Amino acid sequence: MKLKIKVKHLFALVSILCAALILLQLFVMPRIEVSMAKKHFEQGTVGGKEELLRAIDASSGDDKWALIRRYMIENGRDMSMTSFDVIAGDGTFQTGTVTLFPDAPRWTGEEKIKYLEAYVEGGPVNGYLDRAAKQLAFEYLMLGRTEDATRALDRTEQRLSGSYDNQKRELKFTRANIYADTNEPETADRLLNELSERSNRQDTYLTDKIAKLKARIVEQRDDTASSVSGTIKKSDGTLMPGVGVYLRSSRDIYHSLLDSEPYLTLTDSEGNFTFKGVAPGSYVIYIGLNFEQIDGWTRPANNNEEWIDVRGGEQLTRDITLQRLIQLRAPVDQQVITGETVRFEWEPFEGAAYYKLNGTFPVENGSVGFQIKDHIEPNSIELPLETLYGVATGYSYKKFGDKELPDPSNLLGFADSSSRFSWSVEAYDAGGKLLTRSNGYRLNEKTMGHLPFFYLKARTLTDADRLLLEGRMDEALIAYKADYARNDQDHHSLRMIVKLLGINATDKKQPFDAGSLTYLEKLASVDDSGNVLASLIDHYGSVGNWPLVDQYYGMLKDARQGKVESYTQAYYGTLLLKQGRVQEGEAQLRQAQKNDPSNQFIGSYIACVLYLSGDLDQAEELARQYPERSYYDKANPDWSKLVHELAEESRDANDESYFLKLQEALRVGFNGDQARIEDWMAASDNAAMRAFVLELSKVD
Amino acid sequence: MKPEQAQTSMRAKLDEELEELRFLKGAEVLNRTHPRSLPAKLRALWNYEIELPLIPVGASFAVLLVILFAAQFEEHTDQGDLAGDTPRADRQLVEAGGNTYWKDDYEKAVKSVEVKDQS
Repeated sequence: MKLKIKVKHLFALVSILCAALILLQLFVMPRIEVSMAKKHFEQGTVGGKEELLRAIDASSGDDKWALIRRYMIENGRDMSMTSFDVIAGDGTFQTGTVTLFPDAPRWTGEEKIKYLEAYVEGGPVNGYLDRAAKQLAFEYLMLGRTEDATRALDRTEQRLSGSYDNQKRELKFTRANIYADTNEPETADRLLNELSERSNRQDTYLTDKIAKLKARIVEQRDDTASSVSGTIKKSDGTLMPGVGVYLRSSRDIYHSLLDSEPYLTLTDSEGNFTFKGVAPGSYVIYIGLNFEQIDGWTRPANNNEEWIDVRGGEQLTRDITLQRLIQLRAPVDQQVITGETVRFEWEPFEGAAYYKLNGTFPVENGSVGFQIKDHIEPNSIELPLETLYGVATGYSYKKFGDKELPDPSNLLGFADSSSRFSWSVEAYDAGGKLLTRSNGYRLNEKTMGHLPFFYLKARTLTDADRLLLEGRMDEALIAYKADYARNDQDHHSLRMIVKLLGINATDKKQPFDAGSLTYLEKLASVDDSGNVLASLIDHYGSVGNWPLVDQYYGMLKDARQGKVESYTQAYYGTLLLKQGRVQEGEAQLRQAQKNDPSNQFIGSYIACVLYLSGDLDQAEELARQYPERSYYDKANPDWSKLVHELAEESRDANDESYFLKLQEALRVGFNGDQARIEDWMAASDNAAMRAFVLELSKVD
Repeated sequence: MKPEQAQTSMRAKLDEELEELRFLKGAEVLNRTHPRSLPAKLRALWNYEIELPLIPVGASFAVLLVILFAAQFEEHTDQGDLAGDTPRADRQLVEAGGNTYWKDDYEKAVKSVEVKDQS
């Protein structure tokens, strides 16, 4: 087949084709590319970010500004100190990023700086310009480039014309805020004064913010006020600039971090931070990190162990060093264990005096964690399955029909051969300070390591277990009792009976009866974990059977090799006080206080000291040293104030008998009998003593 | 009538019929068929009729298009490779066994250990 064509027609045809191609490349392709880039970016496709950056680079004028606006500014954080990927508190890690395009990739600081700088310099003057400037300033601050931050804000303020008066004021305020944070209070003050002079009275929001910042600057300049400073780094020496640092009051830590909290800052280029003019109180430092910073690392901090008690006029330092996560060795990657023992092994951590082995069970919305074994000195331990079956586990609730019941799988614990378990370790130094842990953020191939899962398939479920798993708790209890009656070596059934009776006692408010107590006591005699002993101490303490309390506490001490949990020890101390054995009670409370950073029993301990020595100065010193924290909005007693008032009252009384009266009052308080306390309160005319005894009776 | 005679008589007839017609543009035609000057040569080329074999030409055109497309496509995949390691946020986090993983990585890892178990 041949085609006849004249040269001139062929030429025309080729010309048309070329023109079409050029038109396509010049006008159509860029638009297609931009829209493809947008789509890929929004969907988080691989390379979508680079595509969008190229599209931005290739475009110009309004198109370029529109792209930067839509994909960087609208989605960015405006100097919000709290919008980090992970907020790490004292043992808590909260993940949270809410963005306009949830699937879109994130911009790095350098990318944002490049495009926001261009926008701030050349972008259109409208309501987005001040946002761009604030975001640019924030990115600079993250890199410790404070001067660039204030320069960008100043420059944008100049660019904004008269009709953007509010935005100009906002920018000036932001600048003042940065100066206040970076220890240039004079400049901050000058800017705030300029703002106040030209302030719009209707803008009460800004007026309020100006007043607050002015007050903060006054506090900062007060040399007698306390400061808290420190450095955040990684254990390999990596500096951590631009990390969010939040000094959070004990009254705030029960809710998530808010921008309105008073002490929020970012670390400088060397990872240093300072809070000046900190009001007295108890605080915990939380830090804000990006995924890249926390990936494979952890902030070694345990709940209640990070308190900073600010009393006034101190210069406190608190450094934070992130540590590498421990890698687990075995059992990992869903290994199925059918033997009689499990050997746990993990990578050793330099400087660790001992390790704590923890387990987790999956529950519907997360997992339940619990301790398997504490104080393990080597970096491995072989545990018999019986020990694992006896581990005390928490439980969550699960829906069965329209009822919520304790999740049977959690109750069975390691005895549920159908469940997938996981484990973790924590490393501690000789002083009991957490060094690092194995669980945390593992977000890339290198940091992921082995999966911490394993199965225990050595035992088969009994009929009673199956009833339990079906949520038929009462029938399961009967079946377990029958099994145990047939074979008194059946420790599993005995443990399950005790667990189910415990649930009845707490959930259904059915106290242990004589029959139930027999099971508890039998388990106590065969189970060397000591887990059932705390329930027995609690029960016999509540009914006042002191010889049995002493007996079971002795057994618990043996089971724990002398290291009883501080809560149980302090509780035992208060039981001794109840009996009038103040000297012994004081010894227990003193020891428990050493291991209890929450100071929740400090009131009882101070009362013992007062009772035994009458030394009000010593008591007041203790109260200052170990303040009882106030959680939530609940105002906890200020023991130092209560003791101080006692001291004043005793001075005013100037009476030898005051101490005797105080001892009598403390005996009433120790006893805790409500009727007796009320009678005594009605009869006593010492107000400070009444206030003290009232708080003492509430200690728990 | 002999063929020669017939031819002669037809010739005579034709001559007689065409006697009124005169062909005057001989030079022009000659110029076209055998161009001498440059413009004439160019015009000849411009109007030259070529015969293109449809199959080879069509095939090479198609190959050219394919190459163009492939080049475009390759450009895109190159970018993909470069971006392979950068964090993507089309990913969700999942908490499992006390750790926080990217969901896709986690599912891949679980699948790979399950495959290992079976083999």
